[in-house]
Amino acid sequence: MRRAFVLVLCVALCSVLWLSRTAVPSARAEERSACRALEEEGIAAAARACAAAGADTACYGHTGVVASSAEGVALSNIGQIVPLAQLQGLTTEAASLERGTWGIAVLNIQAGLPEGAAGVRAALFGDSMLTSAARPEAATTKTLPVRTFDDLPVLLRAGASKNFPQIARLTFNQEGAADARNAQNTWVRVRLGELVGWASVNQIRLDGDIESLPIRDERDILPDFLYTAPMQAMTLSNVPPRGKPACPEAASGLLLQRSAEAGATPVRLMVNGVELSFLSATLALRAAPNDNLDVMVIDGVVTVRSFGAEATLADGEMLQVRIGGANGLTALAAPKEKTRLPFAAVEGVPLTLMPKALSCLAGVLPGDARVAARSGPSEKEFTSLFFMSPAQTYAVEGWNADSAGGKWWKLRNDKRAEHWVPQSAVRTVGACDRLERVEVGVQASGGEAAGGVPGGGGFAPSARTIWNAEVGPDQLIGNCKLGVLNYCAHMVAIAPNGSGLTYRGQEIVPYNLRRIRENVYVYEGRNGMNNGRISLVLTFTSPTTYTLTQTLILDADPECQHVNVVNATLR
Amino acid sequence: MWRKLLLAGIALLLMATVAAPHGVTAQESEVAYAWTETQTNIRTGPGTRYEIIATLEIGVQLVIEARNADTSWILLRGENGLRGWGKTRLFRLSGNVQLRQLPVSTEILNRAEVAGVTPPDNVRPPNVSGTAPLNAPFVPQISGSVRAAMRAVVAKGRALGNNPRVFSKVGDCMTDHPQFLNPFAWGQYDLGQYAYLQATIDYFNVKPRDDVGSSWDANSVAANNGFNSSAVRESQWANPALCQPNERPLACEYRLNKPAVAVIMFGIADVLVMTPQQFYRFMRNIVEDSLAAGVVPLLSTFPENPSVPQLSRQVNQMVLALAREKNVPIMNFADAVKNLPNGGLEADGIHLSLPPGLATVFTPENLQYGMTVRNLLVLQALDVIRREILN
Repeated sequence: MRRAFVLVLCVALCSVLWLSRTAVPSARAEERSACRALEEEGIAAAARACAAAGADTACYGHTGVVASSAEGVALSNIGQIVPLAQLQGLTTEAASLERGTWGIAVLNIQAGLPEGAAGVRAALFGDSMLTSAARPEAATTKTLPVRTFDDLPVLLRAGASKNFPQIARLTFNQEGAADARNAQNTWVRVRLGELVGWASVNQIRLDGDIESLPIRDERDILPDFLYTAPMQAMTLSNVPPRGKPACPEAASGLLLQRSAEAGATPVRLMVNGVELSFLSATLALRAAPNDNLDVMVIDGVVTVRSFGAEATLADGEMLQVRIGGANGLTALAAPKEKTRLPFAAVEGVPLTLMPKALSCLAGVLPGDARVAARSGPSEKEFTSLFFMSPAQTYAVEGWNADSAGGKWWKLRNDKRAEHWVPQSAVRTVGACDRLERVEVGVQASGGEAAGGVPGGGGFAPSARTIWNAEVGPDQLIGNCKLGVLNYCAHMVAIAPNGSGLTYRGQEIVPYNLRRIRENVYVYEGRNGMNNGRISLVLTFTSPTTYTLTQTLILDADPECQHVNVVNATLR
Repeated sequence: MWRKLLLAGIALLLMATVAAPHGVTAQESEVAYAWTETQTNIRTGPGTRYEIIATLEIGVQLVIEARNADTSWILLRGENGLRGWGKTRLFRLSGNVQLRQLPVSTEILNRAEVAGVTPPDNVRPPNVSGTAPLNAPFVPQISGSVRAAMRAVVAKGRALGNNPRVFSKVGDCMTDHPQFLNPFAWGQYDLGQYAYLQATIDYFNVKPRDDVGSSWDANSVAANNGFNSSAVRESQWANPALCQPNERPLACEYRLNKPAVAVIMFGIADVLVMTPQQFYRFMRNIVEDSLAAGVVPLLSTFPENPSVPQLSRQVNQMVLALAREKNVPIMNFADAVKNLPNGGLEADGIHLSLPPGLATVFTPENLQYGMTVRNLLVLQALDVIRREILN
């Protein structure tokens, strides 16, 4: 009797445990689906409501937008449009499943460009606040001529004291214009072309009465006289959510896009004191007070400038600029080193609200299961090359399917080797549904059959050959403790081995590569030094050239992938 | 009876000829190689109950002679008389090996016969630290024992026909470079405060052979972009236009130029593709091959590879230990460049940095670059060897 009771109790406990384990992911999946629906609804509503908005206007896109204006202008209904010139600021609300809100405001910013020229489409979304920092009067502020007068070096500093860092050095007899002073009349703010800094009045000759200049904050080096059009200068604030956001699928930030013809004038914007210049680009911005402004380039090329330093970002790259000061939101330093764009930066950004359809982007988030990129669209038939890194966003160029009908994305790769990932395992943003089916490999034949040709036929050698191999830079993917591996150019011996190849490079032990299709050979397993796992994918591109992608994961640094592309020519 | 034997022999020869596949040379089709994939015991018979003859490090190349009945063991032979059985799964086999087609052997080696065999592959490397300083002078200091040992090598070289006014270059991309020593042959240099080295430039300014100007600008078949300490002793990497079939690049270079000295440096590429034990073994082989050919090996520490600085230091310690053990001259190039900008390397961390002009102009500005410092150090080392050993 007692034994039966214990048995029943165990079964009941196990059932409860099992139910609780399965219920949690199920609830999250439902929530995720609801968030995705909210995101799609918000984007569609904003696109409909704001389609007719003209230049230099702001439009209420989706529920959860508040506008502030000195002239009493309000944005209270979806589809309502107001001129940017009358707007002081906009606030959008974070996504909320309970209230069905995800604030979206759409702005068309002309940024001082002539009528008819391509302007900037912007979307403020999620938990965001945007205020205008444009000062039209700055364009006509009185200035006094200044110049250096002796051989001593004159430094322009980031503030009105020798304690501030140097941002430029003036040469003898160099001329500039002072547009402000500090309260003690000991330093003046000097414009040197587009550059602004502070100079000590003892080191320069000021042509005029210093007291005729306005007093400005002694840390202010913003070139606001260049950004005087409505919303050409703005301040963004995104307070990071406490705890887990309700809907990670519907994010927060400011999205900008401009599409202009080559040769057009680049547009210039200043966000949080950071100057942005671009011709055609799509970029997302986030600003965490007293932390960083994130500049994330999804498409195109953007020049970022602050504190006299400049950086150029291409698609798939991002950088941060430290912000702080009195409002916690003003640039305090030069741009940091650029890094790759993590997929989390584009997840939940309303890219489809932008007029120019973006290519499809894929990636994984830090908590996702590991996804191996393979040399073709099948887990069984193709070798794994590397694990996708959450710290990177991957462009997708097409799709194909495996024998079970499962869809696979083909990732863009400048080299000839192919990288495929299963659609079901990765996240995507952008116009993925517009992609077309692409073929697998240059001359896909599949299978092992090579007609008994030594080396497997195609461009593969049928006798031992020696190649000169040039090794590309080591690309680190993942969480790397060790640095890059600097390999030398070297010779490689390749000999037929049945329908495969024996490959002997710098390592002492050769690799036996198996043929996976015509001209493509792979090895996966321990490396020659037996201190890690290696995958080699060798693709013959002509009878005298091949490309090899080598991915090495060292035992001592297991979360880091070293990816080298090797290009070789027949000796 | 003899006639039958003769006919059988001819038939076997014919079968062997027909069996060789078309388009594949005898060398490729007949030699079956195996490489140790881990530390591996070589035994007197095919089983763990048999005695161990040698324990080989990873990456040792051996020739397969035969197999046991179920192919789980293979009979192997290596250098210096090493012969024995190894467990098949511990080896990576060359592409042409089909285990079932190897001859079956039941041979059990006589332990007494192989007792004296100590394969070079089995030499234990010195126990050295990757953190201790190298503590060696930049330019070789010729001690009494080094002088005596190397003079004996030079004498041996003379007997073998070596030219005391010729040296060879042996190395990788840091050696196979137009700015390394070559400009001394073309008069494109400025010794600056090192004018005393002119005598050494003149001394080695003789033709090693008809079609080569001098040792300074000779294209060495033992120095190549991408070579490492193993490659220089593997015949597959030899220049087929100059070297004989199956001749190793190092042996080919020594045969062609008949040098008295070899300027040898490997390491910066090696540390990423082989274990310190393998590197030590290969360097030791290079030194022993040189000594056997009557050539004075001038060794050198190498600039630390920034990817693996500690491993580089450890391997450099091995090079110093090898020089001490063999009584050969050594220059400490690693320490000479470690305080230069970027450690004397280009931004890629693998090639020596080059000055804006010639790396043979010894101004203080130019001596901030790795290649200039190496040119000066090698010239100083050859000067010491010329005065203390060759003369």
